[in-house]
Amino acid sequence: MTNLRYGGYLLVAMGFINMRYQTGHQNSAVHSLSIIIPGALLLLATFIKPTQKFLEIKNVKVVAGIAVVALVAYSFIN
Amino acid sequence: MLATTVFTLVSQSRVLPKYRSALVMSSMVTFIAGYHYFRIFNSFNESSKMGGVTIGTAQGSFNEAYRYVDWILTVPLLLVEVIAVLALAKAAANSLITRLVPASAAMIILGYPGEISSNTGTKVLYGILSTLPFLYILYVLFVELTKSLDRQPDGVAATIGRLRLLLIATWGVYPISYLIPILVKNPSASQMASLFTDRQIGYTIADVLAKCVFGLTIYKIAKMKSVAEGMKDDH
Repeated sequence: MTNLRYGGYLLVAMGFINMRYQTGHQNSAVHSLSIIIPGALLLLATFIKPTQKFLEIKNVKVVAGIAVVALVAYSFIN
Repeated sequence: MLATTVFTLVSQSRVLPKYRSALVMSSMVTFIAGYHYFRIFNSFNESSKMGGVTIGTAQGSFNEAYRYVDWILTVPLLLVEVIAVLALAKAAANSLITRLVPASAAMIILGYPGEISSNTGTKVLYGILSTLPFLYILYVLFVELTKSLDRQPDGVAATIGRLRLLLIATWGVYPISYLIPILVKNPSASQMASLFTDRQIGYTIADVLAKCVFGLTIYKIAKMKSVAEGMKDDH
């Protein structure tokens, strides 16, 4: 759970830095918010009990982990 | 930055599980900072034209806000790392975190208006305002935290002492870099370019020291405490 929380925070942080970099570019909000929003939702989910239980399911953990890695990669290329 | 990220991630098995979150936080700090530098290089490339760098907030200009976005996201984590590696009782840890995190955020937020201003008075005013939360952080680290160090293993308290000195030394570079632009009165264009470069170098050195060296010191403390608590020192 803690690692997913850190993953969520990482996405929010990278998304904001990405947003600063994209300022003035076309569709900048779409690019950066596609990193920030999943990060913020993941971060929030790690603090709410029902969603915590959902995130503890092994397959969900794996999917969330892959999504974090994919979005981190996306923040470098967009 | 990225090398430190890898090191602190792969070193997790060398410390007890309760100290691993401090190492993960350290990895995050250096990774976020590494990403920030990756983007700062992109921004320098885009804003460099005909031997000069355009500075401002418009598209294609280099904007110092980059650093502040990075700092506001990583500096509170640096302080949480210290608390995490000490593995204090929950109430004591929460009390320290709820004081250190808002103070570090206030320190950075108050520095930004002075950073982007070209007016010396504004720079000095916001420099003083952002120093106030910095002094409060020092008070918490040197006075409040000291009360929690009694039960730490031999050598850990001394390393924490060095960590605090490292924090003062590295964080001290930031205000020096911040004040560089006002050191020369009525600078020429070439002097302004030189001052800008000096400030960027100062911030970069401070970032490397405050994030990488700080993170490695956190690793050292986690390792010392793990060994003191019975973990086999085989690395």
